[in-house]
Amino acid sequence: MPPSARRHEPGGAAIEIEGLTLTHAYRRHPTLRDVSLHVAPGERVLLLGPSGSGKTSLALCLNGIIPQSVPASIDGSIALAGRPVGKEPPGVWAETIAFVFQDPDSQLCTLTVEDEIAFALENRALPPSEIDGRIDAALDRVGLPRAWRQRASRFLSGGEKQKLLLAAALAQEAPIHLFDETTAHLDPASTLEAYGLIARVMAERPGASALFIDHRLDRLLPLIDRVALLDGEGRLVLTAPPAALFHDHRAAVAATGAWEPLAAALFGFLREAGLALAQRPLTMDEVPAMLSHVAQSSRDRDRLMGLVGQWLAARRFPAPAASGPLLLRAEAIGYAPRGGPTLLAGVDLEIRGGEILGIVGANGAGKSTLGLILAGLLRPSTGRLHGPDGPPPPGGFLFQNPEHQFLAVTVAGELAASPGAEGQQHLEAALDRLGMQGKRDLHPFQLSQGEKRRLSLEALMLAPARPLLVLDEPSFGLDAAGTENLMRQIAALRQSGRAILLITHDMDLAAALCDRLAVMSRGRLLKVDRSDAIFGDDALLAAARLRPPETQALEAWLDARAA
Amino acid sequence: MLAPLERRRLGRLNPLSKLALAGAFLAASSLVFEPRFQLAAILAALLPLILLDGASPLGLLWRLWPFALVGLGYLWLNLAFFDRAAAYTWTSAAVPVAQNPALFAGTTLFLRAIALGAISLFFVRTTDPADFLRSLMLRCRLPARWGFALLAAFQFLPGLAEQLRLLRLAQAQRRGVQPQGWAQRLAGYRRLAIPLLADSIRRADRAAIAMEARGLRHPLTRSSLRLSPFGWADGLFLATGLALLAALYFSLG
Repeated sequence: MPPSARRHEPGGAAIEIEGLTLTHAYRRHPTLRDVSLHVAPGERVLLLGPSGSGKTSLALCLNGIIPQSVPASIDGSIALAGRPVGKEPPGVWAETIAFVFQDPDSQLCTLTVEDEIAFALENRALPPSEIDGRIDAALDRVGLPRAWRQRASRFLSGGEKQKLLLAAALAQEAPIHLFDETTAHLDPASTLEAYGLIARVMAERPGASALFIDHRLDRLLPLIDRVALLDGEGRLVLTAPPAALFHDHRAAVAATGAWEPLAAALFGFLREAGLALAQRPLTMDEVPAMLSHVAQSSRDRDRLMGLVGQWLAARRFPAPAASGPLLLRAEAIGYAPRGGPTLLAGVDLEIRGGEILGIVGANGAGKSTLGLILAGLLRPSTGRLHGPDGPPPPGGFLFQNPEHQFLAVTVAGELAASPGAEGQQHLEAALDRLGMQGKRDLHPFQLSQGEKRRLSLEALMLAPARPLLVLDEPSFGLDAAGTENLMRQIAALRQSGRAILLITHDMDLAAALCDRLAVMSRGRLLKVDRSDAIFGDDALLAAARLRPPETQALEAWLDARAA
Repeated sequence: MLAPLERRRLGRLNPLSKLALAGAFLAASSLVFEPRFQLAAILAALLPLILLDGASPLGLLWRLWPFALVGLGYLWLNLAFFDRAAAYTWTSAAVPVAQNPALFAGTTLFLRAIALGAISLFFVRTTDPADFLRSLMLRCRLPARWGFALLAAFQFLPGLAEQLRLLRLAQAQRRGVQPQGWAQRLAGYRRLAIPLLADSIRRADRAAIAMEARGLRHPLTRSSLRLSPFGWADGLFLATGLALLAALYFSLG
């Protein structure tokens, strides 16, 4: 049911937040400042903001986990379903608000599927017969077979685990749901399935309110009634329906550094170029039809197409005109840990200097294992790596968790710790590039997620004689501004002649940066080809559980028009 | 391949009845210094697994090799230090079964190490950890937050080894060299401790928040979807087991 067709139920608000100011213990500055937000029964609100804007903190205040379990000082008031959230234990609110968080592995409280769904219901002391019925109903709703009740949850895939956690949240039958970056760890196909599932189950419960925290907007916005925009200082800048916020207040969104939907970005660009457009699309699926309509009725048809092509081109970092020299050749690479299953088999690959090669595939396809081998950190069980004149060149690997790589206790020390990066001149230049002169004496763990990622990449770049760099999910958890910075940093690396291997689930990032893509599935390399050829192969994408980038339909539209 | 735990005969028994009997056998095995008793305890633990649950004898022996290794150490020590072992044997054993006192003591200790392993193996292989913790929470008043914290730790342990592996790789590549010698390796582990601790605390935080958000600290007393009942099979199992233990104790102890 589209948001406009769903009527919000009359009566008091489901969530009432008044003048909430939150300061975490041992922090000088508030994380949230004077936030007031009302969510009506049946309303679906997206909480949007850059990294560190306090979105998850706000969510954890709703049931009192902050400040009761996570120490903090709080001013203001919160009420759920008309009851003030006071000093009761957070657990009592489980019948009113059901949470699904981002990392499925950290949320599993028990060992089997049925125990996981039963957990919240047992805590509320519901009778076993009722729990039993709710488990079956919840499994049916998310499409997991009842026969899986006794299955160990650790053997489920990432997408199945997230379905299980959604089932557990639905079984709570709470009037309010909170989804905190629920799809962040999922591959593209699982992400699409998860959004479809959330849309379906929420449509079955029109009276239930939901608060979403997410930055993958294109698939989520059709569910959303209203967006609440937070800035980096934790202030609520404005709340508005999605179309109004992303089309009428585009500058306000951009000023916060939060993500905006691609469709709004495109139409904003076209309006700024002088085209008068009444349409306000929120998803890229809507865009081709709207543009066709505009093209038919507009005298500026050619200009429109030129501008669309310009916008698409601006999203891409140009590939070098000629391919660089051969840097590394992998022949029949395989890997199986001692006593473990085969993780990689028969991988043949060539990497050239100055190229960005994307490695894409579903969760567990073997992407990170291949990256570790190509970077020289894992010895392959079978096969060989060759450099142009013999042994393979030394590589660097940017781990998903940047904290893994930190060696020093200050930002400056971290940069200076790279072998071969000694010298004050190098250090100052690196701090300038990162914009971290003012943070040089902070512990690296104190930086924001985006800053940690950029620091770890810069430290890796400083080490000389590493012509190959492997970046494992470098954009994970970053906001729009952080991702933009990172993309520029990666593009600059390519200019220096190094080869970059980019492991990612973000197909738009891959389309923007990668010259070629290597598609993996279940430990095997299915195909290596130019990015546009890969994204045009529907059968291959389906086999590897991938999706084309959101701009694919627009490119097809442009090509058809040009033809 | 073994059937799932809940479909095996011993897997259906109440975890607490198995804990009680395993505890009694462990205590007796620790107290009785007699090789035939230890051998009987090993057979008492392993034969039900083979006969009732269809476990592979070779598979069971493979799992017992660390205990056998410890036992061999005891055996060697007794044979190597004959006089001290003899003195201990003559004052502790009522009826020596071997003419060589060092061999007697060494064999007893060797078999005791395996017996302790076999009894533990019996309990671990026949008991679902979630059922066991649930029984402890509901029947022995183990606080739910401790019970589920233990379950969460049980899930995290395999991931911890993977985290450590990644940390070692990450730091080795930053330094550009692999640590050489014990001193460097020790220093390397010390440096890994902080990120590993930070990562573990963060994961534990996330798990605790997820549990609390789903009502773990609810003021009501938890209900339970299913609780392993005490049935006639438990009574038979306990009675048979304790009778066997008493017979072994009085005949061989």
